[in-house]
Amino acid sequence: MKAPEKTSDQLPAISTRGPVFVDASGRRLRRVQLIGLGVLGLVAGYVVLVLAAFIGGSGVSAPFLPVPAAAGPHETPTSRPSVDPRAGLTGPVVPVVEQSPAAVPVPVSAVTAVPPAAATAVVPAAPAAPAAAPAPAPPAAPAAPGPSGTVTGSGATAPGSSGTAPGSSAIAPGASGSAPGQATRPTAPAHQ
Amino acid sequence: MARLNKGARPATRNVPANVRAHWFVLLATLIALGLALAVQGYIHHLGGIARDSPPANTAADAVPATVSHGGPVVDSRGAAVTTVSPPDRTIALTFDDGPDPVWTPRILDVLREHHVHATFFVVGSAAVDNPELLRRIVAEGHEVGVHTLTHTDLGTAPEWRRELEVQGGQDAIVGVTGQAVSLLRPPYTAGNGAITNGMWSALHGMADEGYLTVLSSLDSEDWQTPGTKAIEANLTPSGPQGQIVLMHDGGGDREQTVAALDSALSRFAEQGYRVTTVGNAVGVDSMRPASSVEELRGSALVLGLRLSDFVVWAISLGLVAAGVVTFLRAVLVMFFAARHSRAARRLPGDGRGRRRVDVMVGPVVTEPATVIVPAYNESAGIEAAVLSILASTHPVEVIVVDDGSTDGTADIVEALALPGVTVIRKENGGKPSALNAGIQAASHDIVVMVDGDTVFEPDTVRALIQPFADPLVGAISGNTKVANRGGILGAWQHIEYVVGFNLDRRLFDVAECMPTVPGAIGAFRLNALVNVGGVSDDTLAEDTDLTMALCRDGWRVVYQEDARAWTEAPATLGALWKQRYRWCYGTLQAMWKHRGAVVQGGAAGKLGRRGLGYLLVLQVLLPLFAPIVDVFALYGLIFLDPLRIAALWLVFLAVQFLMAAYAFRLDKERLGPLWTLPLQQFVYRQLMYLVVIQAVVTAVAGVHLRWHRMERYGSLRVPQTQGQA
Repeated sequence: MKAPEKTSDQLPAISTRGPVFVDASGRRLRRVQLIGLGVLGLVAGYVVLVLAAFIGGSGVSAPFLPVPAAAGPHETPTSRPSVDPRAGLTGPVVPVVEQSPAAVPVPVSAVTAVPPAAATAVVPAAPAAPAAAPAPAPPAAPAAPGPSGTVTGSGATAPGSSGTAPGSSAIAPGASGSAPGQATRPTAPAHQ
Repeated sequence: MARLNKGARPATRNVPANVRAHWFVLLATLIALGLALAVQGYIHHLGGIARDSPPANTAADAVPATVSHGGPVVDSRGAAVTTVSPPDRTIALTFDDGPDPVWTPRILDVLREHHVHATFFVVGSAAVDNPELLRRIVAEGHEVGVHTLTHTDLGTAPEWRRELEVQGGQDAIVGVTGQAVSLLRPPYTAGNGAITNGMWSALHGMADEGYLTVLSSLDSEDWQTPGTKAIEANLTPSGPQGQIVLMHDGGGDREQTVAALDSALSRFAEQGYRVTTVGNAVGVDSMRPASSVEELRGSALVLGLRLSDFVVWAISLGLVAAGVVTFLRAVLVMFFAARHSRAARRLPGDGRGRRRVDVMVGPVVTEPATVIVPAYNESAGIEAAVLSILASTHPVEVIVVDDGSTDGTADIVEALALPGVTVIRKENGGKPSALNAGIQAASHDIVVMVDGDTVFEPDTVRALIQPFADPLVGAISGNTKVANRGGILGAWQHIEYVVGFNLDRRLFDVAECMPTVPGAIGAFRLNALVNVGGVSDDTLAEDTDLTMALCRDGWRVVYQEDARAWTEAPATLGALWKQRYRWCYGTLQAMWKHRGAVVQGGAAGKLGRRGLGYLLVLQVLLPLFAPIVDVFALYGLIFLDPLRIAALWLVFLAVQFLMAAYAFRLDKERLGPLWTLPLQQFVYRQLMYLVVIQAVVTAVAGVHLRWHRMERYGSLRVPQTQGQA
């Protein structure tokens, strides 16, 4: 019997080059060891990376002293360092501040300590807005100075006291809900 | 799949080197993969932006009244608690849950149109996913605050997780923008009145880390998507007092938010409200350039999360590919096995439906055969093997080649003084040399090779050589059966053999790309053997090497399922490991040696492209990927829906079961042992893929191998119930 479909390329005679894969010089072994070390290094690097990202202490958080602790009407923190890109856009405003009894004794604090109803807030006068701000020039009137101290004691706490209440209650008045706002609008800083 | 190739001789070459370090590398890699999966799972599957509902436990008796009734910006560091509200007629816009690739840009566009700035409380994971958006937010002058890393309810989270979530959120922002922020809005909070005890303790802790908590005083409730009109109404302030408005740019469809924001901003402008950021409204500068340490941490987090995402993505692709391959193989193998089985039952050239009466194809092959039994220290089983061959219904000449045994194997055979049995003694030179000695002494044109630990049924030789009636056939593979199939290890190997021989081998036969005729039972044409130069000792799998050489020489190699040989399978995990290690390494060697077949034409090309391709994908690549599948299964059980993972697993198991059951039916085996199939997924499967890894590493490293032959117990005989099946 004969092989019917002889392929032209005959197999080479039994090789004398030793078993397949075996590298007597050991060069491949060393290379594989290097690759293994490399893989280990990558793996270790990744593990260190993740551990550093997740487990590192919280000592590098952002310590800040942001709240202007019940600043007096005239020493309000005016516009921040010019680093702030928003600095020029809006005039410095002094917020409504409340403090707990434990806070630094400021004249107002005694009043605010009484929680719900009588909580008082101090709204100092907003100094004149920086009219010359290099803002993207909104058409709004630039320097409408705010009214000196719109003291709305209970008003400051009302919206905050009941989470979603203002939202839901605002639905009812609808268009007329803005009535109080309209009343005072002309004197408000028309800044955006 | 299962092939038999035993009786390995101890190597007599260089000092063998052992490779072990790769197990350490493998373990480290798997641990790192597990870590990547854990990180990715934590980031993407434990938090959840979509579930924006307030916490269940609403006890709030421990919350100071200053907070519950105070302004929405809370500073509670130390013993003092201070809250502030924006001044009158000032509205601080806040957007939570972003950045979102769809809605954040549109909200930014609206804000730019109206020349206003807002505060974005970003989720750290979303920031890492959409870094350009966060950079755009900062570049356009908006303020950014922390909304935790994965939108976690800080009120109910344990201490470690609170820190991780807030710090992680901070790190993500720092890593993307280079800016450190100090505003924090805890997820699931709205107004001051809704602060619970748990949330308060979280806020208190965060204040000491340097964060100002920003709640809201006016909730747009846009996350409920109540309609643009409703959101607009919610956005209407009830008086002149300043408000912090809560809106969302992420976590869902924000079409309504965008529309309502546009109209609300127009109205605010008409009504003279000042719209600005939280920091600006209350007079703080909440952002500053990060320190280099912070930058380092931030970059580490961003990079770590990206890497983890990439790893999971890559693994998912691999899993899909592996799943497709597995299913394709199942379909392919069953389809071809069915074809092979039908063809084997039919007379050639005849119409459909005619069953042949016996195993013959074409004219009956009656010429005598030479049976070569290479033996090295086979004293335990050699007698049974030789006697079973002599009992053949076909005329045979038996040549026992004793390859320098030290246990008197040759003496045992000679003592039997059987007619028709020749014993050749030679120095130990390895199984290929023993086979070549037998081939040289063979006096018939048909040569059957059988391992010294294998017994034949009386009809085996006759059935085996019948395909030689076809002059194109150069070699024939028999059907190896496991004799010692008791015990779970035996049952597993039994299943593997039945599937391997009845499915894979039939596929190879039909596709004309048989890569292996097992050493346990195979028949060859003498001239074909001589033409390829006999049995080569280049590889540890001389049977695979020889078969591939025959295929490349143009011969057809077929499978004869009726020719059964009974063999003794390893009875311990250690012995099984050694056997499979040798098979796998030898197969890799043979594949490499015959890699040139891939680009050849004719029969060689069929072997190269089909046979080698099949082996490469299913017996090398798939097992190499298998450890990752196991790690991923754990990940799925923990972070994904365990039911879905279990269902997926059951589907795969069902496919395997169907395949195995079909193979068992083809081989007329009882289905009993199949109950061990689910358990095979645990010890056996791992052993099989670890062997492949070990073999591949050894091959790549080029180290010399030492292996051991398995212990023989001499318990071998043809089972009575199976013998005449």
